[in-house]
Amino acid sequence: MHINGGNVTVHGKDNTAIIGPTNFAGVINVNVNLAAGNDKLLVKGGPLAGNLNINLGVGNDEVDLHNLTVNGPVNVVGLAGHDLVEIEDSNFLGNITINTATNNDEVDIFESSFGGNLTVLTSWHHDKVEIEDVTVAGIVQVDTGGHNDQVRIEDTDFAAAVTVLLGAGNDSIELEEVNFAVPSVINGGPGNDNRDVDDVAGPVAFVGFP
Amino acid sequence: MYTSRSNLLRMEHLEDRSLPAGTVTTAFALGNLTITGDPQ
Repeated sequence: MHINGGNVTVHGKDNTAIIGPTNFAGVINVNVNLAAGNDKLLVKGGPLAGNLNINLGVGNDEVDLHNLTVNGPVNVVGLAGHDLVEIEDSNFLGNITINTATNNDEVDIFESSFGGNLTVLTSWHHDKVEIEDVTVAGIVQVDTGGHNDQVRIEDTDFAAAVTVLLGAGNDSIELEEVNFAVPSVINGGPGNDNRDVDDVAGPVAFVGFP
Repeated sequence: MYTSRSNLLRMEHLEDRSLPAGTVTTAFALGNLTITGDPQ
């Protein structure tokens, strides 16, 4: 899907057939429901004036928000399945929530800025969250739930409070060149957790680590 | 007198049969674009 202001074009890739129009004008909000099955969605362009809501449904789904600007809130919600959410070279003015639900999921956020809150929830199983070269103005919450999870944050500036909950399991977190402006917490939860911290500035507390 | 004609049989590839990997339905009203996938 390509967004150019209020103009949106929908392309079907890999022999995906589209029922209905493919070019739209005056678009404010976009709602995508991928339903069941293993789906792939690419959204790029902008700015989208309103909301972007993406429901991944059941299945191993992949969403790529690339070079995208959205002025309103963004919600990416998954169900069971190994989901991959990638955000790159994008700008979000509103709050964004990514909830990949159960199974082994991955959330990658690279070279992007967030004007509102950033929430990443990956729930149960072995999940991986990477945040690199990112600025966030709002509150950040990362909750990877149970099992053995990996979180890596690099070259990133947080202007508001950050809470990272790794939950039960043998989790690991890697922080490199990260700036915390206000008191923040990294909580490893139960299990044999590991932290690798290098060049971190600001008031951040580590809980549940040896 | 017999004459022999040899018939050469050749196999030709058929064109690929492209089937949709899935279908997506689009709908638009009052500034709201809705895109819905199928259960595939």
